[in-house]
Amino acid sequence: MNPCAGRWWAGVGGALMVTACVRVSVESRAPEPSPTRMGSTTVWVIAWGLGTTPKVTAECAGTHVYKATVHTTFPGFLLGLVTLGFVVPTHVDYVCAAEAGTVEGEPPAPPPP
Amino acid sequence: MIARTPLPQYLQRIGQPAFRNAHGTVTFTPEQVISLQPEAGGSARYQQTVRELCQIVGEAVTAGKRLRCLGRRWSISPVATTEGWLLDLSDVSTAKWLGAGELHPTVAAHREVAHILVGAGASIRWLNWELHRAGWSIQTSGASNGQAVAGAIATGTHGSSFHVGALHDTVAAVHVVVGPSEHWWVEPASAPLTANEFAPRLGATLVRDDELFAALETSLGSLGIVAGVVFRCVPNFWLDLKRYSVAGGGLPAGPLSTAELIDRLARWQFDSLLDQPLDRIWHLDAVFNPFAPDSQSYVSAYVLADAPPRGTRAEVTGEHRGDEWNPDLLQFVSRFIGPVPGAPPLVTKIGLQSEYAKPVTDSPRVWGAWFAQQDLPGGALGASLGVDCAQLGVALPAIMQAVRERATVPCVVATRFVPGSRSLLAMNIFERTCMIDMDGANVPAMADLIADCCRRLDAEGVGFTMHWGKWIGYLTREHVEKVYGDRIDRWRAARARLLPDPRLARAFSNPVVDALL
Repeated sequence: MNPCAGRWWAGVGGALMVTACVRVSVESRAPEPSPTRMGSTTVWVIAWGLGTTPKVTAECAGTHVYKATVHTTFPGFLLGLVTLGFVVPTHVDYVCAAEAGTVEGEPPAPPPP
Repeated sequence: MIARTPLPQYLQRIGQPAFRNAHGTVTFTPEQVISLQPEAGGSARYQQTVRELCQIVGEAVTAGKRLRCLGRRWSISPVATTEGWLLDLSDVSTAKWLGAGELHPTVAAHREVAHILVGAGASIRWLNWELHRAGWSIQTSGASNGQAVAGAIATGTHGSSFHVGALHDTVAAVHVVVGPSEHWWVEPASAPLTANEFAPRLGATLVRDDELFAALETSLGSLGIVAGVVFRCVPNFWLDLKRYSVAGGGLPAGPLSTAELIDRLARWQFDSLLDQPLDRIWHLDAVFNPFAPDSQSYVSAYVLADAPPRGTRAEVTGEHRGDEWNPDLLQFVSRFIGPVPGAPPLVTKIGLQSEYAKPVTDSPRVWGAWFAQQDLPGGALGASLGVDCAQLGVALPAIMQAVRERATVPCVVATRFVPGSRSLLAMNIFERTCMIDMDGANVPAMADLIADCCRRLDAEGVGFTMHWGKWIGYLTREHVEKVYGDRIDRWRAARARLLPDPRLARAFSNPVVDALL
């Protein structure tokens, strides 16, 4: 095989290994995302989830979660395939909301159009 | 309340191996992350924030540390990075309407404009929403709304409001912490904003000075810690989007070649191009497929429209546009499909078609609803080059030729138009500035392409500025000094007046500013 083509295929394979395979996001409408409060973790679903449901606690101090994304990777998908779904790693990312802003004073009445 | 977290502890908490910007283009290692937490609302929150900023500045100078505001992690370039202390003001967002009694008499008489003092860490998105609820609007912004207001201004964020200017051109005053016990309220001497008693009421020193204000408008985060800025707002307005395919002969001006279109754009003949009165066109851009500009280019005009019936949906926050792109897709396509001969033009064509050839909505929207992009495709990389419109006929063909000759990566070229600014380090330093945006994926081939385009502009004798918050890998101190001329000396002189203690100037700088200014 041409070495360049080999590197290309290796690159594609490597990218598939680290990129998300299946991804679903939930996003809140109202609050603003925090640029610094977020989290990322991998949970393991064992025995088709018959026993326990993995739970991630979002460390958001006093605010809520702005956005949560759940995704699997290609290696995770393969592991699930090989074990017939007995072991499925799933990655969870979340972004917390920033504290709500406050507005002071009365806006002037806009002039009539 | 000041919350400090050392970087290792912070990274462990967020489960990430490194600190990155929102677009994943920059990784850096601040020593610690400092977050201000609110304990009150309104003026009390704002004033407490200023006190805490003074305290942190004092501690940083004493400890010999550098200090940088994070903003919203929005900059693509390393302009907001630091190895020192990183300051997050996003939790202490505030806004305050300035009443007639707080304004200078010459300003208070004008009822068609309102002024709002906004805390530095507030986002453009939140500001859009609060202004919309009150019946007012900012006059311009970037295409996306995820930036912090102070960060957007400090890096020269522009739109294409050719009557108005860039975002920093709509700022009327800047409140900046310049030392452990000193904060200045700076407004232009030629256009005083507030009543004489207003700044002292905040504990600030009132400084009316055109030169300091012009420097602070685009501070690059290095002239102190900006605590708040005042925006000049206008009554809420509605815009219709009109989009024309130039190649399809869709322009009201009739079929035009690329060269003819560039010529019309360079001369700002937007009214004849669109058959619309100039004062009705608020924002205009033209997008080109650089691989085939004669067969694929679009002009988008945002034209003032009558307000729709009450109750018309006008969300300016929470603007979710359906499914978002897989963050890895753009990089994946560019890295692995891009090098295949013939693929970059094809990918560019399909990408442009998917975005621009679809029908646009027929209902008007307010400003904050049009420019509400939040979910940029992950791994995006872009640069924005500011050129004198008189040289657009040379610059744009040179850039498109470079893209075609290299043909290594998908890339879109867009043009936007902004009048000149007094702001010393603004992108829009030319009387009529065209912002040439190049957007693609964050892959080495894209950075190489942008650098090649910059080299070609230099070779053609086209002077150009660059958006400080986008890719700036080509900039050198020599280039910056050449294009900005005496503006650089004036900016440095303003820094010396604002921060006479060299320890303060060093504390507010970072490697980018050290290298270029």
